[in-house]
Amino acid sequence: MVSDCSGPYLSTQCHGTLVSVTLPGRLKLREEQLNTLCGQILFDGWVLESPRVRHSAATGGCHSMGFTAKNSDGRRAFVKVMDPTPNINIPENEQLIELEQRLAIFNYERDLLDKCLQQKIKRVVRILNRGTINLPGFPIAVHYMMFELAERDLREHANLEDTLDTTLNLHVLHQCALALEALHFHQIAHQDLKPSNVLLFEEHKVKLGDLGCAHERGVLRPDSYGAIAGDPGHAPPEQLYGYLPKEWSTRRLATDLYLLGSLITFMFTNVSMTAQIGGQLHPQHHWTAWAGSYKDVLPYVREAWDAVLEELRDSVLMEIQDELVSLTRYLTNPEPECRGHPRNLEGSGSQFGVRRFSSRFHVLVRQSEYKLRQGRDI
Amino acid sequence: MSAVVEDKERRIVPRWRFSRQLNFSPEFECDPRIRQLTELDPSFLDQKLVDWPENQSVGKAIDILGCGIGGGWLEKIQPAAEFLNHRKEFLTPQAVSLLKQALTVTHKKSSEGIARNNELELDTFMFEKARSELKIARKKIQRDPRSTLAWLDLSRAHSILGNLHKATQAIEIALSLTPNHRHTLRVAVRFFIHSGDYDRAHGLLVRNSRTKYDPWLVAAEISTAAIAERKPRCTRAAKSLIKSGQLPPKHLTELQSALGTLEYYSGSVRHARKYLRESLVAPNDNTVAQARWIRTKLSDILIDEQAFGLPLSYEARCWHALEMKRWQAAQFECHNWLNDEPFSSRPTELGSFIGISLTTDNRFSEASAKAGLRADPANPTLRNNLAVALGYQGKLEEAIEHFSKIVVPLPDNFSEYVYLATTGLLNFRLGFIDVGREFYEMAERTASPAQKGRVAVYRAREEINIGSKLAAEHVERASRLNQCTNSKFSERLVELLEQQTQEAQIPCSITSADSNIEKAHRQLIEISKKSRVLYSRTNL
Repeated sequence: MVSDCSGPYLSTQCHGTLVSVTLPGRLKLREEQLNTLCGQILFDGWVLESPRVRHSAATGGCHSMGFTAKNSDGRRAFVKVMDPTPNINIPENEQLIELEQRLAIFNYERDLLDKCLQQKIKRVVRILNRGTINLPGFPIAVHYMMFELAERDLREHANLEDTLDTTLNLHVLHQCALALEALHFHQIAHQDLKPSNVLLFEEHKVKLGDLGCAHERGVLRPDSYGAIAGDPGHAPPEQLYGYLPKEWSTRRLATDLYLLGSLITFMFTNVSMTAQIGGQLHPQHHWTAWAGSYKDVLPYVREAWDAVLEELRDSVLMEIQDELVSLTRYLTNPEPECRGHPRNLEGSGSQFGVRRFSSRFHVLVRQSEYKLRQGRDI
Repeated sequence: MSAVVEDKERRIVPRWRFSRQLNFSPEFECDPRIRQLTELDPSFLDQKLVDWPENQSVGKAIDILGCGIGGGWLEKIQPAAEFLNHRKEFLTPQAVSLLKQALTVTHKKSSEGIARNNELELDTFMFEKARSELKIARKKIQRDPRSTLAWLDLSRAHSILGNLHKATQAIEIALSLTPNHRHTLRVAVRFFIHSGDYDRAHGLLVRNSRTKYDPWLVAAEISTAAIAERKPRCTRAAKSLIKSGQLPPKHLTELQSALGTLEYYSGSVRHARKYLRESLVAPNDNTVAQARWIRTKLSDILIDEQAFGLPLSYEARCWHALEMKRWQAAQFECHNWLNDEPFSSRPTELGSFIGISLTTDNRFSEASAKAGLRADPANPTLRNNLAVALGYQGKLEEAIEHFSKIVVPLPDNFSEYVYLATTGLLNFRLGFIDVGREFYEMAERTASPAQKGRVAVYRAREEINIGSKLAAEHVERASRLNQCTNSKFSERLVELLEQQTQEAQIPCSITSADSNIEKAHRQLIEISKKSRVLYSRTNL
């Protein structure tokens, strides 16, 4: 088992509402405080290990950090600990309020994970335990959540030593689609589906991690977070241009569909759809330069998107290219109102339903496996 | 003889190019008055960068590049870009492209990209190009029926190929997809002007609520109103947009130019000069061409070489070269202009004239005229110039076939003496020398004193061509008649005539099959009859 502390359940999580300039002195102080957490006994003999990577101190705006924990049997787990140190870059009277909000966000994620556990959503990473540690020197108790530890995340897939295996790619996509389907069934939008949040376990098990940006329909998030769903390197173009549909499903579920489509481009080209669209756009139409409305830039974005899809076609095996490019097209349409499977758009089923996609991925996996077996026989 | 192409009245009509050739002028930028960029959270990238030194892998480097380029935090991603640069032979093409962006963008910022797609393919013949663009647009539409740019491209390709009905359908679909989009509106206006539906072009702008606030649409409205012979509705809005001081000169160039032209026509020369000078502060190819035209009417409008040097200023450079008597350069720029706007009659008329009259490149004339006739099959100037170009190349059946399509009585914009002279030319070339001479004489009698010299040149060309004993006498006469015209085109014609005399061309022989010649004879007799009737009516 890899104990590298990167990845969603291997490293620090950023939720990104509080961004402040950090002072070197503060960094050191926080580093020292956090080091006191190492060696703490959590429960049933689980002991926190030293964080392998530097963490939130770098930005000052992160709400939690990642540790690994080990028990007496030698088993290891990932522990996500809420950052309990106050943000000294904001006025003193606001520090406690900010800490409370941080805690509320942490608990929001914890409640969503509990719900996933209760609803037996097995394709979302399982929470093993949660609790608090009271330590001197911290203004509030240190909250933590413990998860099963993944072997690696999908970013490793792009490494040189890994061959791009179409069957495995399709399997991962199928599993991600099933995970989204389950989450959507329970009115939860993941909002941050990206390679680093797709965790690979033994025997090709795939689970989604990090519900830190997730939204549950009808449950208000404690922060104002939500303009950009997760990572700007993966977010759908409408959000990057500041267009936010008012309707929950068009804003949240359509984003999940886009992220699933973006994952397809990553699996076959190693680059996300968003990054590729950004590359195709003329600098004056890029979201970092365009201050106008999304409607006005949409024709240029569509042009770039179409070019990306044509490049994807060249990166996929001929047998599946038409179907896979079509699925990506349906999933990543730059107009969120037009996103979704055409048959769903025609009116049979929910517009943003994932089932048609997961079943198509399933068929593709089976076809690919069959061809693989035939190849072996020969 | 070729019809003289005049430096005609000109308005600031929006340019229309294929989406792949858009030169990304400020017209395609967003409104500079809006300053609301989406704030992106850098903490995602910061966290990735914190993890980076201890956990380096290709996947993580690509992730960092995607996030950094996506957020515009280019300096921060340099270490990851360098890491990938050492392993680029193992990367997918998409990852290499991302890496290139990271490296070039980091060093050169984003301005270098503007040069992309600026170069037009000069040597690709325009119809082949239009057909290939048509295919591309169709495929794009098949893949994405909501792509406005693909519908606009389809319409442009159809316009070049002369399929006006299909072009209209495509424009209408584009308008239904993005009815308030600046580019769509301007292209639609251009298209309806091209198809002669001026009222619709103007109505489109007048009815759109966006027009009054958008300098590019206001400029188009003022010009379209003039073409449609209506009163412009946005003059006040135009002046207040300029006065507001919120827009940089590059966004006001067409507006200033349209206002300047409006003031010029209304007789307010002082204001016209002021606006036109302002339009040249940050010009585009359209406003340079407009200023160049107005300069021939108004003094004190200075256009610097930098303005003429703008990448797509073919029209302005072409006319400028003609003014400077740089004939080959004029043909070169006209060729580029033609490739840039093959559906427009202006470059095709000019090209067909330059080839016959100024550079003796009859093939260029033929190509130009044929290109123009696709989009405007009833244009008599193009038909005449095509017949002349073909006649000079010995393709007489084709020449007569085209010439016979000119409808008599002739329209006002096509001179009778040109028609008579070309009838003379075709008779000469088909061996009816006396009839040819007769028509040239009729042409000379019908022509204005200023044009008599030109007719004489064309007749002298034919006399030299057949090796006539009267050739020297006609050359001398042509030179004499042109001496008093003080026209640079006439000077050039005489210069070329003298060259022809020295070279003493071998008479042109007819190489076609006999049956075709008989048909050509019959057609020419019909044309000659029509010409005589035309001449007698005029003289009555």
